[in-house]
Amino acid sequence: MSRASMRLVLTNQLSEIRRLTDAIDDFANRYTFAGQASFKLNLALDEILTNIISYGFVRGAQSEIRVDIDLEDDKIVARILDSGRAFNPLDYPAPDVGLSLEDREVGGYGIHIIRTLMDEVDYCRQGDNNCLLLVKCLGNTTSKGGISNGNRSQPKG
Amino acid sequence: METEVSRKGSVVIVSAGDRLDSNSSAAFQERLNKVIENEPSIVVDMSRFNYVSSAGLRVLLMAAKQCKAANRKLALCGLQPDVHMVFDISGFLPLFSIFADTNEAVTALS
Repeated sequence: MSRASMRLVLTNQLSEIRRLTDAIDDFANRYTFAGQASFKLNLALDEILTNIISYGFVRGAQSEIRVDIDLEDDKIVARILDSGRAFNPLDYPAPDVGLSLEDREVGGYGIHIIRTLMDEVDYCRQGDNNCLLLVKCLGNTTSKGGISNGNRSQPKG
Repeated sequence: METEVSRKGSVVIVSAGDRLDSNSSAAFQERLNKVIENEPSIVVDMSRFNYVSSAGLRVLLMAAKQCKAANRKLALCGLQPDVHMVFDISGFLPLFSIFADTNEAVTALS
């Protein structure tokens, strides 16, 4: 059951991410999940919003992105809804984080970070909207063993 | 974000803060690239960055590739714990020479 919620509507500009970060920091301080959980949630949301804002829309098109965050007893659930082009981050393979400098891909780390830091990631396309669900369990300050090779994160417990 | 460039002997130190993300990475990259073009030994002092996203990782990885190709020496120093964690999960720690602070990094590159 949700103990507290925050709702935010952002426009599709990168500068809006800072507004979301500030709002989550306030929310985290008020409901005392500050620290690792709020840092990881902020980073995961930054990564997905940077993707949506940078690649989701025709250049110059204005749109809104909705972010709903619910604090439950043992987890934080974030839902991101945007009307950009269909984009399922779970479709993208993780970069090989074991390669040498010369062979390293320079991109793809954002989605890798989301998958690694979140305990559950789920995507669906609903009509003209992308819906992404991110879940971060509380009381679990360790990352999921660092390097994730799985295609998607699974809920714990 | 204001990027500061200073010099200690033959080593140039690039320092900035507080967030290296999709909003700030382009300006930082531009400044860093100019330094790499002109200087043989570069330390990026990360101590004022409390936040690095994949946009920042990208800039640092491209800088490392550029330094390798141009035969420049590059070191990072002063990674904060959250930033160190982002480097760790992205497999970036083995790609860089990383030191505790600028003194150590400058000594190593001098």
